[in-house]
Amino acid sequence: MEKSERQSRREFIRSVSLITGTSFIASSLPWMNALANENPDQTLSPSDKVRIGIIGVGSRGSLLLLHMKNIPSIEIAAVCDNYPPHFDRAKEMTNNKAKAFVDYRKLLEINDIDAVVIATPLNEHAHITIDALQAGKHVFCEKSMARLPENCLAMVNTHRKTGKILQIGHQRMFNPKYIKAMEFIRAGQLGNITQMRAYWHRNNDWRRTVPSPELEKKINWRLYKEFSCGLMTELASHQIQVANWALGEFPNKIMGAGSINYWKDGREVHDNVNLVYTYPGGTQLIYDSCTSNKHYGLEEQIMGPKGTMELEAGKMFSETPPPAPGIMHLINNIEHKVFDTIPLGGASWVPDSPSKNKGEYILDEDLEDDGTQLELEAFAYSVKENKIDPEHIRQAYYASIAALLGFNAIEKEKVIIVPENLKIV
Amino acid sequence: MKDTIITAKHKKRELLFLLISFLIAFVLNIYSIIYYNSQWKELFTTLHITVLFSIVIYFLLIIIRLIIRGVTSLFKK
Repeated sequence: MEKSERQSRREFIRSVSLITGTSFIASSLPWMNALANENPDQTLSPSDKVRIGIIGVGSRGSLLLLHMKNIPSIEIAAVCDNYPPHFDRAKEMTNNKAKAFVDYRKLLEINDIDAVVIATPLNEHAHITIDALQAGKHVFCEKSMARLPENCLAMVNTHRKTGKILQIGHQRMFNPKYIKAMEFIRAGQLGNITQMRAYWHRNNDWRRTVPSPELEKKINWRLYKEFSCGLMTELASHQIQVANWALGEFPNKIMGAGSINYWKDGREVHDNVNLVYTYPGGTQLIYDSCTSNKHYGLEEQIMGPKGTMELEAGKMFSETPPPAPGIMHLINNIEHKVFDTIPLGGASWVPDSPSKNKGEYILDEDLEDDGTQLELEAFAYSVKENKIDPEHIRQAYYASIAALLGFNAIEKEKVIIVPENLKIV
Repeated sequence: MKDTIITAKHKKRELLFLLISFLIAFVLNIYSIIYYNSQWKELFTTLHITVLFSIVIYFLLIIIRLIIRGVTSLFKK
């Protein structure tokens, strides 16, 4: 690791500690204790390192690779990609030190690899994960888990049968802002959660440049049903996971609608979706996503009788905010009396205007990392300890199932009840 | 250009008006704390608002004094 990288890593660890506090780290980010005690100048012995192979080094895979290069307890031992430009880039990014493969099965044959990171197109997650777990490797697989619900279940079953770690790339679960927010929610700061809303809005066609037409589906796999469920598996699953986590339940009824109303360019997946997820206690998550307007960006809103949380913004809004100082009341009243227009005929009702409460930040500062680096640190720690919180896989599984069944609800134009055979404990 | 002479008496008078403005703002703060049933610690925590408010009052007083001076000078003629 270069000196500047060591410096930035030290700053990163220090900032997590400063932002969250040591007691928080001990309870919610236990692997951070090990990192905080780590001497960045000390070179770890090979036996202290987790040797990782990366399968799929496209845009997400190469980002994960960059993060992993900053983690001293990880050694990138092998890379694998069957698309030549990505294969070459991966080799270059590891300075040709990692073994390089085109076929992932060859990578799995290497005995001195502890774990694999899978960042391939969605339809390849399940069989590669299952092969890796059965080959005795721990697995970090990007979200969503798989293209089909039964494949998600097969992944969980293989993970449990082999005893090897399976972590899914839901980085918000490792983001201190989200963890802190969940602590506040559990402490009852919003009251019982009664309503949730989430949305992800973009204004782009989601296409990547294709060098030749026969590579269209290989490069733009997100746009084709054979490989992906589009907005549902690539974006919504993140936010459904957050909603499930906040409520502490998993949805059992899903209805939805979607269409291609703007990007009529040959894609098969919806460019806009709108869904309602109903949870056993009667709370609902209202979800929408579109690719033709970015004004509202993305957000997860958790609401209860005592307050609201906007998790992307990292803010909490009390329903009964502390009153403004008396002098400000007085000045505002004077201002209203002097400048407000006098209504000739009063309204027969008071409009339910949005609250002007500016809220409070959940954490005083926010990390630049969205949780991706922390989730990889956590994965390395889990591999070394050979244990992972079983709640992690339940969260990841139900987020994927909800995203996939949401897609089915849209496709079939039917209300879908989550089948019993897809439920796990 | 003619020099403008600000006498010590003039300065004292302006400082007195500024002090009066601050006192008015401070008393208004006490009044608002009682009227809106807020906390007494606001006397100190909102001191910056009181200072700003006193400057506003000071300028209002300047305008009133200018008007009075204008009106009285009209009658003197």
